[in-house]
Amino acid sequence: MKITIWGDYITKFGELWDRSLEDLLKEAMEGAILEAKINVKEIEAVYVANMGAGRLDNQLHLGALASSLLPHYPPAMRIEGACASGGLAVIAAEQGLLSSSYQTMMVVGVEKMTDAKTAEATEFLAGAADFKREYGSTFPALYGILTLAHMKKFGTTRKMLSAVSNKNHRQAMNNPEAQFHKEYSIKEISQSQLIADPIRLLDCSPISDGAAAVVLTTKNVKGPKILGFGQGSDSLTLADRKKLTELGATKRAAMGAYKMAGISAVDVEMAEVHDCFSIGEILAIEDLGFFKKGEGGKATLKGSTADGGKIVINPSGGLKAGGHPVGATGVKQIAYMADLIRKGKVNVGLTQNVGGSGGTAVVHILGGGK
Amino acid sequence: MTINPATYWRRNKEWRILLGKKGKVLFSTRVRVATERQEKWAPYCFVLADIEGKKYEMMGAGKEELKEGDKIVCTLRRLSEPTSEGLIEYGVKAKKVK
Repeated sequence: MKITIWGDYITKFGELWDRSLEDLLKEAMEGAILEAKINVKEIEAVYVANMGAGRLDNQLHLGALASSLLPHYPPAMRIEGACASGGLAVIAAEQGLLSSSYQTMMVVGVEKMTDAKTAEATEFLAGAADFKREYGSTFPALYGILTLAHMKKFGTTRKMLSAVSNKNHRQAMNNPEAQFHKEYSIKEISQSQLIADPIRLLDCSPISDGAAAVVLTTKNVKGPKILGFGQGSDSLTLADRKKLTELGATKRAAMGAYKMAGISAVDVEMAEVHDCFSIGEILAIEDLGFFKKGEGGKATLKGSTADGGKIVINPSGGLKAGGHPVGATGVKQIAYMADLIRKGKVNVGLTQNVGGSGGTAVVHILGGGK
Repeated sequence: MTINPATYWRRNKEWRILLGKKGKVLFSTRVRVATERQEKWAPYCFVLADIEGKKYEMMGAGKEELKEGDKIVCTLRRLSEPTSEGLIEYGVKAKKVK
């Protein structure tokens, strides 16, 4: 049984002060249905990916909210896994389809974050860490520790980290829905404000509003296919990790996805990976098997992950320049890759979505564009 | 994020065991943009430390700079601004042993 991405849609990402959470949900859902060119009643169920609407927008019960935007009120539920909420919701839908519970489902990811002050958003995001055992941490602080561990073991440099943001801002220039359309030099990134040493402002993905939706079906229709998927988990705290120079959850998720797809890392032409911080992309391209452990930073600085390199990483601009509306990100990665496949720009693409500092990871492999 | 009194009481059972124990900083980052409740202390260090063979993550005491390899002692310090429930949160922070 094959799952096809029948339709997909990504809203503009950014500071969308004139748009509410519901506006974003509605735009993404209607956009995906229009793109699939289907009767809306073919949607049998809706899964909503979201982390913070209960806290930032005082709106829970997002399943019912999404369902009420459709005329036939299909069954709906919200799925939360911090920044991996989107990837997890897609996996849940795939399981619903493969179990034959449904034939056609919609997954929509949404987050409305920019109404909060920076300190409030920082505190909200810190909720993805272990509240009790990592008290006082922030997301940049946890990724700061991961960065220090990588620097210590492999000699990863400031310049290599900056090369990640430099490339992603450049690539976002080709994505009209990206939050930022501005390029930064390696020098500008390396001299930007320190947030949690050694992480600087231009290493960090932004606070964003946005939504993305996909229509998935097991019906025999044309379109990009889900070739494989996998989910991995790890300890919530860094203190309990066996290694700080890799995300074990990514490795486990990738193993499952590669096995299901019957391919290996060398077959992947493009990937959208979770660069919430620069080190996130370096860890991802190593843990997914695109580069040897410890070589990710060097490869990025050499241009091996940019257009024309060995493998194109984050053609959308990633989270860094594309934007990171938390619950929408995992769905956006899949929607963006599906669109590239549909346009014939890539044959086999991979997406990697991470929750927290690596407690959850989801990997998808898409193909079938030929 | 506020610690409610019941959570705080449960957490204290673990924190008090750590008080006075010594260890070593494995990694230390300096938090310059903090959450609302810790803004007052920023910049402060957040460390991954080895305390008697077990790893813990905790804030550094005050604005003291902690570096990899520094010897530390677990000490009782204010964790955040007082909550609306009137709770003044004290907990374990890492202080450099000079």
